[in-house]
Amino acid sequence: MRIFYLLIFLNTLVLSVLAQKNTRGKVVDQDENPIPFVKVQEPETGNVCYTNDQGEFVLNYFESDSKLTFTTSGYDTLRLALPYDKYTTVFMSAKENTNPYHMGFMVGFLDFKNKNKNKNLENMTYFLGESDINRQLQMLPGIEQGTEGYSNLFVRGGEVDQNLMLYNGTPIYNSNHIFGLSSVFHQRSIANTGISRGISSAKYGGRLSSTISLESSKTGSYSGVKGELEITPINAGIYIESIKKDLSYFTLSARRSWIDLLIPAESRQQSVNANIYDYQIGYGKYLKNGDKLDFSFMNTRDLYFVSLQTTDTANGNIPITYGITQKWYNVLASVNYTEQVTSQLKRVHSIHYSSYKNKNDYSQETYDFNLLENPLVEEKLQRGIRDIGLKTDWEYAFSNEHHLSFGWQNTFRQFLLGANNLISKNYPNQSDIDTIVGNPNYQTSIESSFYGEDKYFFSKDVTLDAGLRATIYSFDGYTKLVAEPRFHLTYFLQNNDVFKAAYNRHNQFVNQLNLGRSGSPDNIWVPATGEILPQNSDILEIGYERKLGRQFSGTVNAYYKNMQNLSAVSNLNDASNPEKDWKSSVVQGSGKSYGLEFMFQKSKGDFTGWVSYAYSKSVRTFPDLYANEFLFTFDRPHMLKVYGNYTNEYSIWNFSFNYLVGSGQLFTLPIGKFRDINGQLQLEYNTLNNYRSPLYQRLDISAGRKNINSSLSSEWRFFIYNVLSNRNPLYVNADFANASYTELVINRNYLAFVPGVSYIIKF
Amino acid sequence: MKRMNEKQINTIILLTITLLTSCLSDTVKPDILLNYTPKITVNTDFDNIWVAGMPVSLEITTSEGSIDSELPKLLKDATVEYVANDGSKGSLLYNAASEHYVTSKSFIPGTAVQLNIKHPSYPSVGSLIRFPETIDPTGTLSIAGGLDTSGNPADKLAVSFKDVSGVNNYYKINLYYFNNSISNWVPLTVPRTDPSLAGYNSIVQNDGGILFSDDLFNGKLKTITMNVSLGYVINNLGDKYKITLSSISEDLFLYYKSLQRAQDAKEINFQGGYNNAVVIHSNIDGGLGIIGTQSKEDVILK
Repeated sequence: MRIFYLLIFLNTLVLSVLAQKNTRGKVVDQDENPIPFVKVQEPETGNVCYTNDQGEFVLNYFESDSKLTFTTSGYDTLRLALPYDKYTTVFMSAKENTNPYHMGFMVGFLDFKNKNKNKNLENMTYFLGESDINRQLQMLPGIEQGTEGYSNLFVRGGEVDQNLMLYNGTPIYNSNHIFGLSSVFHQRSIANTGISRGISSAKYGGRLSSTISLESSKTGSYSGVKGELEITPINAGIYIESIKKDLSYFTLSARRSWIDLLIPAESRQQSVNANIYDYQIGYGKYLKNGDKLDFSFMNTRDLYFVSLQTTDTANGNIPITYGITQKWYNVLASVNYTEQVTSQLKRVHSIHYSSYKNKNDYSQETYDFNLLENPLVEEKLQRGIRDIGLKTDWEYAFSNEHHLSFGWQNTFRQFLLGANNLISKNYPNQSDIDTIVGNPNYQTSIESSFYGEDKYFFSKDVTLDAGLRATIYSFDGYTKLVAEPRFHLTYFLQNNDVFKAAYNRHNQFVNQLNLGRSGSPDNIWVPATGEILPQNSDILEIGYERKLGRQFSGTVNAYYKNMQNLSAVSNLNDASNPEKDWKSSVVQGSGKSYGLEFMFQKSKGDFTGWVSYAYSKSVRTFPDLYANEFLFTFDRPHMLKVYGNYTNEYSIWNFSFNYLVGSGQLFTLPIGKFRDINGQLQLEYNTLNNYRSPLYQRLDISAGRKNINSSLSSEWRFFIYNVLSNRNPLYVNADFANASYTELVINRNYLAFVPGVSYIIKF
Repeated sequence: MKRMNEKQINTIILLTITLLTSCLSDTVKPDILLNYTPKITVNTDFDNIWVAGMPVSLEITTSEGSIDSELPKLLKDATVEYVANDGSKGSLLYNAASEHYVTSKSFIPGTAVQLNIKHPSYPSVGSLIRFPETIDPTGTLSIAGGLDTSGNPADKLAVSFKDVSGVNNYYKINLYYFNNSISNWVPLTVPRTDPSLAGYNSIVQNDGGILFSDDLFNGKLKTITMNVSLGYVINNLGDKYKITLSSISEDLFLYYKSLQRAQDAKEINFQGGYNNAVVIHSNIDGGLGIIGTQSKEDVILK
């Protein structure tokens, strides 16, 4: 109730202050790309404001008969009279030879629409030809895939669970298909992917490493309907987009695996089945009063089932069927209501739901024809997590110099930590059993955050973002109040370069227990508790960005990150056993990472792409695992990544490649063997992650050929992953070949020359 | 209905895997394994953890490279010397019968001992150990004063001791029953009803005892209560209970804890990372193994 009164008070305060004249709008180039830091000036009064990262501005104290001037480097100065209280889109003409690189946004932020645009990512080389948002991100500096071939994201020495992945503002808890080989996001279903690699505004919080924002298409350059049909070795999909510019939009993206459909239906039910699907629906509408309503829904599912039949020869050749099923799914839904209260105040109210559940079923059925009913044993293990989130985010142009943003975000997060339903029935002379081991009920945590941030345009060259995010967290009697300062300085050195510096603190109240492999659907989401304390981090980052000529740009970033209360599983067996308290299998420690990243990109012309190099180091300290500091599993000190793409609109061919070379992945190998206090043989590990595999090198290539002769535009794309067949280990398995511990064999598995193909029809 | 047979299923799986991936494998011998230098391994074995006030002994073996075909072997010709802070110094000599290095010297609680072990074929190792202080436990017995897990009457045993504040202390508790008819102490399993014995920071031993830490009672008077099923003492003249409470070294506790994890991890397939690679704790500088120390005290309850 206090929160409600606080919001009413803020609302009244803000509305009462707003009796000033102003105009607002958005400044864009001819391609409708936003132009940041355009100086918007009222010459007669000297009132000045600057456009933000989205190109938007609000100018206060506006006289009706004056013409505003719009000036920024590289564009023709514009003089224009704008009406009061109206939202106007202002087009500016770029001068010849202008480099359109977007110098705004916070340090460490990257996306594919503003900061790293025009890269023709639809033609990127994808694993198996399966278009994948995560694979795009993996090519950026400071973001690693982790285990070779997988679609995971490790950002600047952080864990997978430290990424807050938001689909239209709703968090998703498992973004993987096929046990981590593919993400659930097709590149066609996402209009823009943005990633904050550590530094973010106070609006975002709850994870240590990154915020990844995936936005479906909501607008376009013109009204109309367009779409694509695509088939790959795994999936067949359809993508439809219907835009009524500035009125409404509707998007549908759906795909499903098709190989399983080749198997007879009865076999899919009784022998083997494997299929995946995902679909996303978006709808938005501008209301008559100018407000906007957005709906978003998403559902993903993976299903794997195998059944084997054997014969119990010891008991009269009785057939026995064993069945193993694994199924996991996400359901996401959100509604956003955006209202322009006054020309200076905008509010977005949202409600979202996100659910992830993983089910593992095992069954054993005995076909004894002497019995009326078949004896059956079943185990059904369920785990999951779900969010119900409410939030209201306000943006208020307090003056030409101060733009405020503040809000409240509340998440009811529920954990299904593990419930195993054990069933045994129809066994002669035995009572039926139907019991549940573990906790079948969801346990709820509440995370309530308030934030406020002032974007202060200190001068024409300097902008300071100063914010604070406070969170109250409670779970099972444990309560924690944390405050997170957020500072960001932007300093334009000249017209072509910018310096940025920032400090952030982050807290994380949810952990994912890694049961052996990152990205696995079996990994368990758990809450922070009084025993397993919330993770936190402090991040310092500086960055320098420069336009280079007409087509190129370069960035340099340096960061230092200190992490506390990180979690690791000390006993995989116990952690995955719902009978046991998961907390007893978790140990906590600390970590730090630092690095220097360079990125050089080309955004114009037929040939586009980027070259990045990252030097980094990431270490962990878990006294319960090892007495000393050790390297993080996915630490890679050196990594050079090159993405190149040739696309010419008049050519029927397009080409693309990814090239990566750098430090190999770490594994832990036993170096020796010795006798323990009981006289048993033990393996000696001098430290954890003690073996770095040889130089990582990978070249992926793709070629696309358009068919423009038919009535429908279509395209074939061919891909090869790791065309150099470099032996980048997927796993390094060390095991003794015999029981006497005298012959240790180290096997290395790797992916080489993996082909892929896709066929696309556009309409 | 027609079911697919196993062969058909395997064919589809094989075709799918072949089509979708090109997963290859080879065998490697990384330099880190080829360049392994064997070390001296020193252990006080399970039955011979060094007890204050009693003679001490050691087993010395070698370690071998994980990819070597050789297994660790006894080292019989090492030089083992000690210097204690009570002014004493001497040697431990190899005893062929027990295959241990032994001395008749004993150390009182609180004594620190520097041990140095040399061998011409291996790098020298050393260890600085300390015998924990005694804790003077007291106990009570209430015949049929408690209930067992089934709700039946049980003997209620309690042992109390004062934990030293400001430092991490570690203990081991064992429970015995003296059977007068066979004139022998029979070990019983210590019930894990006390939070300090049931939590993650406690380890069950093969002899029924439990190692535990003072995490939950640092600096306080601690009483551990155990209910033992009725039928032992009340009807048998001369029968009695014994609670053995030992203050053990931190190194020994950490060693057993890591050993327990290593045991659990063996049941899991190796998949890289460190989830199931366990670094077993050691207090041997330059070598491997553990020299555990304890100060043991008995509380007889009748």
